[in-house]
This record gives sequence, C-alpha cells and structure tokens, in this order.
Amino acid sequence: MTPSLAPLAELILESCDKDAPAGGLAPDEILFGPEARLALDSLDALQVSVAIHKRFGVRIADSKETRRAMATLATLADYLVAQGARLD
Amino acid sequence: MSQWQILGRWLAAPPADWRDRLVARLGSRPRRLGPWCELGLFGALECLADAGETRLPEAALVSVASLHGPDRALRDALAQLREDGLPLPLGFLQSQPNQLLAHFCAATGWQGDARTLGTRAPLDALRIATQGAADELLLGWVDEDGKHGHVACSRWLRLRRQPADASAAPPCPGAPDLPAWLGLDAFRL
Amino acid sequence: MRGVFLQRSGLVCALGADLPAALACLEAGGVTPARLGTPPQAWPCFTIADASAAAPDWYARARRLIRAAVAQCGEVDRRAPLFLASCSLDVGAFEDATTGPGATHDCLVLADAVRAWLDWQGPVHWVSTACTSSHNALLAAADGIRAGAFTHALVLGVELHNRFSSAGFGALQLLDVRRPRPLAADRAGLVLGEAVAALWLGDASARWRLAGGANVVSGADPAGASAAAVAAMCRLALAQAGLTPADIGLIKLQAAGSPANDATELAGLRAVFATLPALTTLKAEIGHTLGASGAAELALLCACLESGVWPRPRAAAEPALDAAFASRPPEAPARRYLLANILGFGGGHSTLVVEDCA
Repeated sequence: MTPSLAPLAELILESCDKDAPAGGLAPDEILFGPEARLALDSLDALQVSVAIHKRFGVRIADSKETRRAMATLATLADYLVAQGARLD
Repeated sequence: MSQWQILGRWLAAPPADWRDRLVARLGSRPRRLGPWCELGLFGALECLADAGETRLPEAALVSVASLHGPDRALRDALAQLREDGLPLPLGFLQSQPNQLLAHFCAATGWQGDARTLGTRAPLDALRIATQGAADELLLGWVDEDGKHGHVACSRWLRLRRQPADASAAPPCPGAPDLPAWLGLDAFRL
Repeated sequence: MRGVFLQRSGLVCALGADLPAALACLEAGGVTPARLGTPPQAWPCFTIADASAAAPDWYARARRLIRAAVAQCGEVDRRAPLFLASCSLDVGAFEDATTGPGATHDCLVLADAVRAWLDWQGPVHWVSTACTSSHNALLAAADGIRAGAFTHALVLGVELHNRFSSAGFGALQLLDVRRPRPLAADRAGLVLGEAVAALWLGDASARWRLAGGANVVSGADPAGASAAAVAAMCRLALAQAGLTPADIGLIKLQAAGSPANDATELAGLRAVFATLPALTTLKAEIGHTLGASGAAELALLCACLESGVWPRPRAAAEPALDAAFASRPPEAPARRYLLANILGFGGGHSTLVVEDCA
C-alpha cells in the first residue's frame, strides 16, 4: 500500500469497527458487498462518509456517489484528491 | 396475580472478562454495539444460556430497564455534534437504547415483542411486563459503570408463567439483586 | 377482560395549539415546515409555532407545552400511571453544553420534571423504543387496564426540536430537504416534527376502543424496516383483536417519505391484505414526530374521523407501488376498524387496531 493510502485505510477500518483483513487492505480490492473481504454495507458507507467529512472536509453528495467513490481504497483516494483533499 | 417460574438468571456483577465471554457466545467480535448495548447483550445471552436456550419462544416479551441508558454513547455523540455539528451515524444509533433490542434479535435469530423502559423503581419493569399477555419473559436491568458512582450491572431473568394450579410460590422479592433471587425457583406477582 | 378506550386526547403540533386548531389548519391547507440550522446542516422541521420556540429555557417550554396537551384531556385522575414516550427526551436542554448532561443526569430527569409539572401522584415510566415509543407506551398501558391492574393511564408523547436528532437523522441520510412526499416517486426522506400528545385511556366505554396491537422488533436491519416484520405485526394485532384483514377499513401508514421504508411497509401489508383498504398518512402534515408519533397521529387521526376534516394527498404515489391515499375518510361501516402503523429505526414495527364504536 502506498504510504498516502494508509491513513485512509485506517479511517475506514476504524469508523466501520472492522479488523484489518489478512495482509492489509489492498488499494484495488472491493470494499462493499458480501463477496468483499471487508463486506461493508450501506450503514458502513454512511459511517465512512461522515468520517471523511470530519477528517477531510469533503462532503459526498448522495448514496450513489458514495458507492462509486468508495468502490476501492484507490477510487476513494482519487475522489478525495479530485475534491482537493490532502491525504497525508 | 400470576406465578412465574424462573427458567434462567444472570444476576452477578459482570466479571472482568465479560467482553471475552460475549465474543465466545457470539462466535466473533460484535460490531456496531455501543458499550451499554454490549453489556446488556452479554447478560441477556448468559441468562438465556442459564435457561438452556439459545433463542426465545416466538411469543416472548423482552423488557429492558435502565436508569442511565446508553449514557456513554450519548455523551460521545453529543461531543461530535458540538465539534462540527456532525454525529457519526453509528454514534447516533448507539445513543438510542432500542439498539440493544435489535442487536439481541440479530444475535439470537429471534423476532418479537421487545421494549426498553426507564423507571426509578426497578421492579416496576417486572410488574408492567407481567401485566401483559406474554407467558414467556426475558427481563433485563442494564446500566454501565460511570464516573458518577453507579456501578455496572446487567441483571437478567428468564421467566415463564405457571399454570393456575401450580403449588404456591413465595411472593416476588423486593429488588432484582442477588441475595433475594438466588435459590428462588418461582415467585408470585 | 376489560376493554380499553381512548377517553380524551390532547395534541400540540405544527398544525396548532390544540386539536380544534390543528383541524382548522389542516382544512385550510396545513403548514409548511420551518427550515432550521445553517447549510449544509439545515433541515426542515414541522415546529410548534409558539413564540418561545427559540427561548433558551428548554424545560420552561416543555413544561408549558406538556401542561397544554394534558389540559386538553380535561379532568384526569393524577393517581393513574403515566407512560412517557420520547425518543430524544430532554437532550435539547443540554446538547450545546460543553460538559454534556450534568453529573447526576439520568434518563428519568424529564419524567421527574413531568411529575412535578403536572402534580402527578401515580407512577411515571419512560418507554423508549425510538419511533415506536408511543405505541409501546399505549400497549403497556392497555395491558395494565385489561389485566385490571389500574383503570386509567395517561400516555404522553413528547418530542421537541433538537439539533442532535436532526443531525443524527441527517447523518443517516434519512431526511428530505422539502416537504416529505410519502409514497411519491421522488420521495427522498422524512422530515422531523415536534409534538406533545396526551392520550387518556380508561376502561369506560368511549368512541374509540383499542381492540388490539402488536410490536415486533427485528434484527434484520438496524436502520430500516422489514417487510416480514410488518406482516408479522399485522397478523399478531389482528389476532389479538379477533379480526381478519377484511375487517380493516383504513390503514394509517407510517409512510414518512422514505425511499426504502415506504415500499417495505406496503410490501409487508400486501403479504397480509389481499386488497389494501383505504390508506392515509399524517407525516406530510405534522412531520415525523419520532417517539411522540404514535400518540400524536392517533389523536389527530381520531379527530379527523370525528370531524370529517381529512389530510389531502399531496403527491401522486409512485406507479410501481400501486397504492394511493384516500382523498376522503372512508364511510361507516367500512371504517369501523382501522390500523395505525408506526415503524422505526432499530428494527421497531408496531401497529394498533382501533375500533370506531360510534
């Protein structure tokens, strides 16, 4: 994992009350759905969304945009950077 | 007045390893539970186990009494609100006592009548529950330990209404604490 | 077994300071929710229009509104049990205090205050099951009356505006920024409301009889409703009342305007009702009054049926839902029995079966 993604991974795990999966969270692994190792759901999406607002000041507009942005750790990082957030 | 058989009980103070015991009962670390909810779920599952059950009968009533409710979760969520106007969704949910009921249902695969009740007289919760039609009850008294001198408790009773011709049992003890209820198999109320 | 009847009721809500005022306001077209807070945390809210709404003394306002609602019930026996139903209790009094609630604060501070404000002599209990609190208070009170433990009880639903509830529901993305649009294709969430509702129950015959009711908690979704639990609550309530689905002439839906829950509620009802009876909702008029909603909506619904004033459907229902709100109250005798639903987060599903004995 690139160093800049580590705090983001930590934010997701902490806000969703999840343990890190074996080997850590890969940048391109799917976060949501029963097939994903982390198996996050809609309530987790809301939790991460507010945690991101608190940490980075970025407000994700709605649930559709939330799911798109939070597909993987990498897509979330790209989304936040595009919104002007500093991840480090 | 009815007579109630005590099928199971958990009346002791939570042991030091109560969280580990809860994890063992659930099979994994619980997620999304606030501290009050965790404590309540621990006692409820211990009580069910004492009754030799993993799940309540369909027509049972669950009633949980508390004086302080999920106080720590509420204070944490209010601190978030004051910080930037944004409580975390789970923090807000955990500030509501009824989350214990939903988590109890999820943990035991049960669905049914359940409520939380606040009263200064602990036995009022028992009295109100026994006035209903439910013949199967699970009653809890749950409070977190706090900095204001109150100590943690998660006391639970699993009760069944006995038939009218059951041999006479002693009257209900005055409070849901240990000495009065140990060794008691049934009571009248 | 004794019957349980709604003897008298009182309501203070966004529509007015008492039930006659609420009916007059509803007939005149209702009210538009106020917009509270500052963007992006500005949410509409059906507030009670009293001059001191913004006054800093939360308890003084609560005292005045609670006394006003109970006074509408006329003479009540203050030795009866009082069941206080509230989701947010007195959080509005201390949510901005940097130290949070005081050191000795507990869940019964408001209940104790209500006891003093009303000079109440009987026991006071707080029933808390989030949005279904009032229904569970009613069910507990009715149990006691049926069992002969007491002859009367007061159910008091109290929900007053606070930033915490708005922000919490906002964080869960459950709020609409417009007037709520129950069942509409473009519904986007609920709008909160304030209410203080008092229901004086007793065993003496009166027009409205509480024929049955049920509360079903499900662990399926901590933030939403379950169709299976909606169906289960209906079956249990009908069985307790000794009725079949065909006996029900009107359903007052939860229908708060939630994209998911509105559809879930109808799906659950369809599992029980081969043909849906007339439907109505009150949340587009007074908002979702959370723990007070069961009491507030029952008081208002009975007043609507007594007066003939009726909440007009404000938006067409989504075609896929294949349902519509009644534009007028159903005629007797079809409306002899009605169902009043309240669903809530935390897996709460509750309904009451009410008989019009007129």
